[in-house]
Amino acid sequence: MNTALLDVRNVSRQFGGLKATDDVSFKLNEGEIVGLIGSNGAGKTTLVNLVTGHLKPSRGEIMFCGQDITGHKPHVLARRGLMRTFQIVQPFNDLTALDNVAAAAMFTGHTRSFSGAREQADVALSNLGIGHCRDHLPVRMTLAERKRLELARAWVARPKLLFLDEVNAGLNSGEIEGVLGMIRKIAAEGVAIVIIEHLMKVVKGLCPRLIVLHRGQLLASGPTDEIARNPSVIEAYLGARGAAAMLGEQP
Amino acid sequence: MNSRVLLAIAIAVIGAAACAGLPLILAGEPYLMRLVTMFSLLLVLAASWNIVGGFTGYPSFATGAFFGLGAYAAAILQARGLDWRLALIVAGIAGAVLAAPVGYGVLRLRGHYFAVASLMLGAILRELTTGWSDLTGGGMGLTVAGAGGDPERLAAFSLRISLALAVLTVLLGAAIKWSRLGFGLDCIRMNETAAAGIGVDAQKLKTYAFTLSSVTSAIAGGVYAGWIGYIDPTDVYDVMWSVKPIVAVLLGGVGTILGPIIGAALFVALEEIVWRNVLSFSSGGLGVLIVLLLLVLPAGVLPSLVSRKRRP
Repeated sequence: MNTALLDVRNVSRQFGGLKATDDVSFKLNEGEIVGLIGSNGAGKTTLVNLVTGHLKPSRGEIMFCGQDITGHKPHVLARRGLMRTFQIVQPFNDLTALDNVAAAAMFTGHTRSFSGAREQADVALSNLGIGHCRDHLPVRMTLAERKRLELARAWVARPKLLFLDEVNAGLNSGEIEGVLGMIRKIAAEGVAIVIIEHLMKVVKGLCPRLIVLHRGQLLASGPTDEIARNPSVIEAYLGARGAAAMLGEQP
Repeated sequence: MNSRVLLAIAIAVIGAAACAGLPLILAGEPYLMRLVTMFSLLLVLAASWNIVGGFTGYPSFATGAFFGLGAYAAAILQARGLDWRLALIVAGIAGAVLAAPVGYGVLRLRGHYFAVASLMLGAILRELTTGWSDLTGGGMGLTVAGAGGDPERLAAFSLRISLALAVLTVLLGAAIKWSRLGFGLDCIRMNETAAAGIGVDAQKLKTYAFTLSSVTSAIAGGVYAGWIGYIDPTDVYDVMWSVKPIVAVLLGGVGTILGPIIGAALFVALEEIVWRNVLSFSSGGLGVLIVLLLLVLPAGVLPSLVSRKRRP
């Protein structure tokens, strides 16, 4: 019996009169990389907040590893292997890069000792190519380095499923290449990844499958090539140019 | 041996020496004895507040509420014939029993909302204490047996026990700051959302911090009651018991181990200087001085000195 890693069933979330997430269902398998796309305000971040416990669904249920996690707190889910990065980086500003990551190693339950946590954090920083920032405070790091710090904090927790919320936003193309390499490395370890991304080049390069949200609803879900040809997706989000770019054709 | 262990040992040794020596040195100097006792009690409250307000970043105004609760718990139990030592322990337990559920509820609020909610606790307890006159003596107050004995012995004893409690509270703060709990509180203070995202059970850790700080505040109230010998609601539930520790920590250095010590000493010294020189405008003068100090040294004396030294 092969249960899905994540099973989101008819989840809705209302803010006053606004349905930020409206009856969304999708499944995710172990080790899968999926792109979550849609225009601004489509409800992508709200959906991530619902799954990772930062928001409670108004309706519907969420299963993770075959267990109901609807409405569970974020710290509980983090310990069970459901991690996320934030669209706007959220470092602990008075802690060094090393301790930022060590905190994640400690509080997700991988070690109880400071020395153990710092050892694991050291490995994570090196692995993500920011070993040189070890003793820096986040304010002294570039945005690209801070994005990698978020990845290191997630990676050190050894998640089963990782949500990356616009991890490339604000980076130049060289920095994006670097971060993509890191994401591939994490995925190669069998971590399932959901990427929220506006850069179609990135989506195409990383994600075999896409989920498209539009005004809170699931507009389409399927293999990337298929989604790029889907007329309603083209109309609602991609546009003719975007679709062509995704299919690798000249418009 | 690392510097933390050395600092803790230094605090313990100096504290123990002061507990043993000061009552002898200051014998026959009731004014100075009173001053050091006041300093010690303020230090207990300041170091307690620092756990919640400094380490965790939740600006609590509930310190006075637990101080008053502890004072009344100890006074009532002693009036029923309980030994003062046991009465102090029960005062601490009473602080914990009230703080755990209140903290669990109120620590969901942040910033100004938390501050106002915590401020209400003292007002509520004061009303309850005034109203429940069968038990508390109401507005008439209660006479407290304390450790008894003649005034001089009582003064020496009160100095000793309040200083010992102050040392223990400072050490408790150090133990928390350097532990897993303190690391979690750091994360909560800096970014509670991110803390939850890496597995920090913020609600639980905040409640631990609030409860521990309330235990020491309540015991301080019990010590105060035994020292003064008479308590009433307007005295022990005075909001100044919440405000003074905050000012002391702000003066000394928020979230540091030694900040409360320096801040409490500075506060008591300023209070005495102003009191002696401008009696008719003492609290106003004190206020002006404190505002000036905070403007010049916004992070507190200790961090300002340290960072000035570090700067090239």
